[in-house]
Amino acid sequence: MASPYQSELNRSFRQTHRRLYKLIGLGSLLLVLLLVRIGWMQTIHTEYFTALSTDNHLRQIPVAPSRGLIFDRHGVLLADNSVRYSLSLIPSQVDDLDTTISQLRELADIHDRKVKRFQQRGQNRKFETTPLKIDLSEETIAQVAVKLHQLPGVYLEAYAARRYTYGKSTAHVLGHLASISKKDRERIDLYRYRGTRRIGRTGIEHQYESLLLGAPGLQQAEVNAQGRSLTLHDRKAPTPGNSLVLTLDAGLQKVASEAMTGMEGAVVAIEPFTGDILALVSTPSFDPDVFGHSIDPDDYQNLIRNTKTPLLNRAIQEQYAPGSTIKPFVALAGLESGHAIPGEKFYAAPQFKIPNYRRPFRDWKDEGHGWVTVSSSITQSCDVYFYSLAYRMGIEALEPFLAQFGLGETQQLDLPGEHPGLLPNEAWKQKTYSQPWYPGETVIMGIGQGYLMLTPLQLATATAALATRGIRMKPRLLRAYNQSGEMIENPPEEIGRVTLSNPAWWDLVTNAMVDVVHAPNGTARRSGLDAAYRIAGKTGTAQVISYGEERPDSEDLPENVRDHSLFIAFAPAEAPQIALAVIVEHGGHGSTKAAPIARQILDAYLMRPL
Amino acid sequence: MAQNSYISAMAKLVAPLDRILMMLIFAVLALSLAIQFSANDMSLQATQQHAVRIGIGLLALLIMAHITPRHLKRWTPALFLLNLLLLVAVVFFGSGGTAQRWLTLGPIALQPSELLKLTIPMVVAYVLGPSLPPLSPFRVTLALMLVAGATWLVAIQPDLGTALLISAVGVSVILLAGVSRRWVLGLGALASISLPFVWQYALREYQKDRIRIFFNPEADPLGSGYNVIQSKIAVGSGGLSGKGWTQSTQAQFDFLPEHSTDFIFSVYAEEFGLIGVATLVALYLAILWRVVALSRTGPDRFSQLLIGGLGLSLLIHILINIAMTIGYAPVTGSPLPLLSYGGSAMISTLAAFGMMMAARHYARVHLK
Repeated sequence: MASPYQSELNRSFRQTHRRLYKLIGLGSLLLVLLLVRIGWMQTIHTEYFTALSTDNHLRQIPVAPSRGLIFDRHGVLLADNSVRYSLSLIPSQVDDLDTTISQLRELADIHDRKVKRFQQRGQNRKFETTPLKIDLSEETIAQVAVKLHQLPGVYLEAYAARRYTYGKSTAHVLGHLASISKKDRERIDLYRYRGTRRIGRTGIEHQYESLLLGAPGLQQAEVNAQGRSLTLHDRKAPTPGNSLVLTLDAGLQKVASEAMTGMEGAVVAIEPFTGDILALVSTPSFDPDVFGHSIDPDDYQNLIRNTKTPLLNRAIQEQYAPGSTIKPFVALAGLESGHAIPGEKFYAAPQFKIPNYRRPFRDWKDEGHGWVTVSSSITQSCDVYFYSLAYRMGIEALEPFLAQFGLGETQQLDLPGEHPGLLPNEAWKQKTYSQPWYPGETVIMGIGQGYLMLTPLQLATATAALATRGIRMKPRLLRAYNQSGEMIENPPEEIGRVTLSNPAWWDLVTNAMVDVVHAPNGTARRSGLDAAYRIAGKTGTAQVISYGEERPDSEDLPENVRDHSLFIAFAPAEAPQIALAVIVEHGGHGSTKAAPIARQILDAYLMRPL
Repeated sequence: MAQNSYISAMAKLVAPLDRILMMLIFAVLALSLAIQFSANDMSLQATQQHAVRIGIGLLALLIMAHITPRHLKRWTPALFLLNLLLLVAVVFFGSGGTAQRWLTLGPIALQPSELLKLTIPMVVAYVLGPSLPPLSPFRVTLALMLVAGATWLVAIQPDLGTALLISAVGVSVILLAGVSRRWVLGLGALASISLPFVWQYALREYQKDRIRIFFNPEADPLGSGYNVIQSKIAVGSGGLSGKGWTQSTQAQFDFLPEHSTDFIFSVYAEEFGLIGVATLVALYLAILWRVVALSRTGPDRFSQLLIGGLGLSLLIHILINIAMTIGYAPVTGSPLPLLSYGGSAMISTLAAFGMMMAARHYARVHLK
């Protein structure tokens, strides 16, 4: 019945349907294969993709800890942190860097050099915040904050800057911070420094870096594809650095620092029985605030080029001939070796001569001291007596005795860069100059000239050992530190003891030194006037250059070749609480510059209201 | 009485609709609304707009379901011509980002290339319907030329991705009509010979880049390969049960571009995981096989080819889009049927279902 066309049509329906069946079947198979592939991604490999997804939108932002505070022995704040703001950019988020920078330059005063430096740095760190200008004024902060939403990739970043309460006067002791350098990076645990930009470069800041630093915290930030932080979640709070309590007396430090104003030199004051450094001053000093943030290259060049070397910590890094301040120690050496006998009379001529030596060794007193003893030689600072004593002892006896006081070696002070000074002997001379030791060199060492070189710190610790009658305490700046609320003490430590065959010799030398300050014939008698306590001291005048037989008056010389003025002292003489060494470069005689400064410091410490 | 007549009117209105297909479509549309809410940052306004488009689409479906294949067939040449004219208009007056795809008429922005998904199967069915296998070479050539012409008009917008989809749809309908093996081999040979010339002369540099990136997306992770990498991250991080509705971090934090349109599947996979993806694929497969079932008999060849062709068009779009999101197909800028944001695609897809149902319905009526 069906027409041939109808049956052919029906056949074509069936065929078409079969073809559709096959085509959709093939497509369905492909769709199922895609599903299998997706299933594989979402089960076996899902952790991989989840990690990528998390990395995408969650950033771990390290949070820098706040650096530990520094206090003096009485709890006076010496260093803390203040919040400042920097204008920073994430280059990868900025559409047109040049336009953005010129927009910012309209808002803030940004130097060409800073822009150049930023461009150099930004090259390698396209995805990190790079500061363009630091230490913004409040006005600039306000101006930038208003426009921030129009400036993608620009951020106001808060950072902590170090602030030193006592500024210049503690600059050398506390030191300063600096940007973490390439060299630092090789040495430090980078994990601990995540988020931290600055590191202690010198002084206490460097010495106790690991205590002060603290540990970084972590913040998790949700960021969008443009890298803007949307929300912040605290994951782990940073651990603040430990606070330090130093042995310094901030008030005394200030007095010493002010007393030294306008002079080059150093003061070191020690509490003898503990080794506590009460004051450690080096002048000229510098303003540590210039290091508080990245130092301006100009300022830094000025500091480095300054011929008065303000960055040098003279108290521990410079060495001086001790001059007559060595005499009490030489006297003890003489007593111990039997070459000096208490009360024994000695005729001090104007000069001292040794056989086969053409040149005489002159006394500072042109007419000579006449009849003296070991005690009065200290009091009057008789050169000829000590020439003779040293000559008779010889370097073999003198050098080992002085070494007991720690001269010629570092004092293990907890401050970086300490210079060991120089206590010469025959072996040293042979090694350094390939020459034998000459007797004349022993002679001048008796009055603290020649090769003997000491740091102000060594002079102070040796004086402290006189005050303690031989107990040598390790000098220390750190008294304690606060670790999460608990005070951890840094106990005083004895590092050596000078023992004499007869302890009375300590009294002999101490009394002679008291006479230096308080007796009418003492060299520093003017500095002992009206003192409410007794000072044991010794003046020193160190020649900077040697002259022939004629020695011109110091005041007539140009300043840079004038003698150094030195003074060592401890007080009260009967129960010493403080020992100190004062050095004023080119200050002339010890009694004119150094001794009055020492008196000021002693007064400030011993006469302070309790 | 009045109530009765109302009910009978309603019954008449929904009579052409295939219940199974409608349920499946509604299921996918529900997912579509949910995922669009999430992909548009939980914006009620955007979701509402999407819902309105679905409503317009369903209206189009209902209207198309009432147009008999006979009428549809009569209008086919005119509709196709109109579509071509719109494409030409796009070339001259079009708007859009890098490529001109939209035609703005007052408040309505129309994407004529989306309409081709309807008119290409229609016109191929129109041309090849009267010819039983073995097909008349003239008609096959004509069909090929019409497909090629439409493809060319889309390609010069330039919208290479859609052009490729259109040609794939056209060729698949021609294959469905039953061309002989000779034709298939000949066309295949012609295509492979012309490929180097197309690469050399017809493709623009950015189009070549896209194809290069398709083969090696990591070569340019921040450029053209970025989309695919971020899309794979979205899909893979979804895991078995997904991050949860509205919890897509890839979309919320803008890592995934085009996340409400071309890459809506990635967001869906991220939020609903493998369970959600399997559900969606199952729904799509059910729709496709229901379409196959609808095409079993046709009152006429035009209707059968139309149902089959529209089904194949749907399949190709689903396949290419999902494959794209996991890096198995180049980034073409084509939407996922029923799920993506965008009016033209939603309306034309739903209208296509209306056509299929009409063809089936009137076939059944005719057979009675």
